[in-house]
Amino acid sequence: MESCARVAARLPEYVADELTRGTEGRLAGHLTECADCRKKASGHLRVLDALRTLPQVAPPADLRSAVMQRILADPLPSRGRSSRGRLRIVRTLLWTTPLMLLGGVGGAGAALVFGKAWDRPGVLDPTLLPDWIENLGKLAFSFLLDVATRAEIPFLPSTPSTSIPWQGLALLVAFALAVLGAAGLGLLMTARVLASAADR
Amino acid sequence: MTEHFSPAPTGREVASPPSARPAPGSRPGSPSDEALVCRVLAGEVHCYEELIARYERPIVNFIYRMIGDYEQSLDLAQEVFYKAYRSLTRFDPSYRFSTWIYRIASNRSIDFLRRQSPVLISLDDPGDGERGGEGTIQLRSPTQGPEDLLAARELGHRIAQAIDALPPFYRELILLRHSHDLAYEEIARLKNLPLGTVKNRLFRAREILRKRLEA
Repeated sequence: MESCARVAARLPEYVADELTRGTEGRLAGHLTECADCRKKASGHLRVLDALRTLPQVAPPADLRSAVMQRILADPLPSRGRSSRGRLRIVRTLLWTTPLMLLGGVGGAGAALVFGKAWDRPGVLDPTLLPDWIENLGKLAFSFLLDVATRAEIPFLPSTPSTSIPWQGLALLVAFALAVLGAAGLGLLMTARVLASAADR
Repeated sequence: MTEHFSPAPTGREVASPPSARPAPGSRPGSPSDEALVCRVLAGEVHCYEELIARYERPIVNFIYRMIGDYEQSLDLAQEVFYKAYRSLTRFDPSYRFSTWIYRIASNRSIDFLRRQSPVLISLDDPGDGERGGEGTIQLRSPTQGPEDLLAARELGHRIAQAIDALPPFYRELILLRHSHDLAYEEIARLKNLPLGTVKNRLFRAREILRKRLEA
């Protein structure tokens, strides 16, 4: 049999029919034998009945119009179309960005394959990267020096080709073109989404 | 500690069933609260009036029972609806609109009570029906005779006074659960409290009310 302390803790739920059948049955069994708990249960039932009869008040008829007047004087900006459009842009960017990356990697790979660079292991050697950067820096410096000393823009191909890894440079250019191409494709698709959102 | 309880003026009594909980979307085909919010945000401001119509009575009653002053409760209710509108862009549709607006009403009521200093009145003051006809709050039922009406009125008055005498954090839970029929989980989410804490506090609040009604 349940103890009085445990029963007392569940009496509010018992009178409100919030207990499971099993628990309710155990409490009911206790209440048939315990006058104190029965008295408490009837007290809780009285509270519940009283709460159900709590007087209500009616709001005045002009409350709604007073609120709407304030709202209409300064309404929120509509975010329907622009928010849907922005959401589409985000979704578009989420899948165009990997597309751009894949495009860039694919473009570089295609340049390597078509350039038959596999036969030139030196081109893909990452340890040559510092040399590439150094040579590009030298090229830029000599170009600027020529401009400063001759006061004219020299023709770039006059620079000795042996100082620059042209094959690597071509690969970089191909890679950059591939990335730009993929980015351009993404921008075009984004613009299409914007245009279709504006049309609706 | 006693608190001043300013009943509503005459003409404000309601003959409807005691439950103040609205039934949004109860009519076939009527949009849900959340659907109305989306339409308001899309620019259909007039849809907000429908939301006010659904919640004005429960919110006014909730605030009125919390702060005990009818006129102030109307002002606060207006503030609640206006603030709710201005904050609609931050409304999370995964939550119920009712939870959200009750939370705003709860915060406003608690803020108001914190700013007010307590006014002492006599517990013998009947509080209604004796101020030049003002303040009568009547219950009507087609099945009740005059004696039943009187008893119900007396019980309603006593429970109103008992609720008014509760500490605000107990009063609020009692009103949300028993007067506005919010589920325990909804109250826990609204008050940002664990479910067990809500149930414990409600139990203590009910115990206090039981002892006061028996006294």
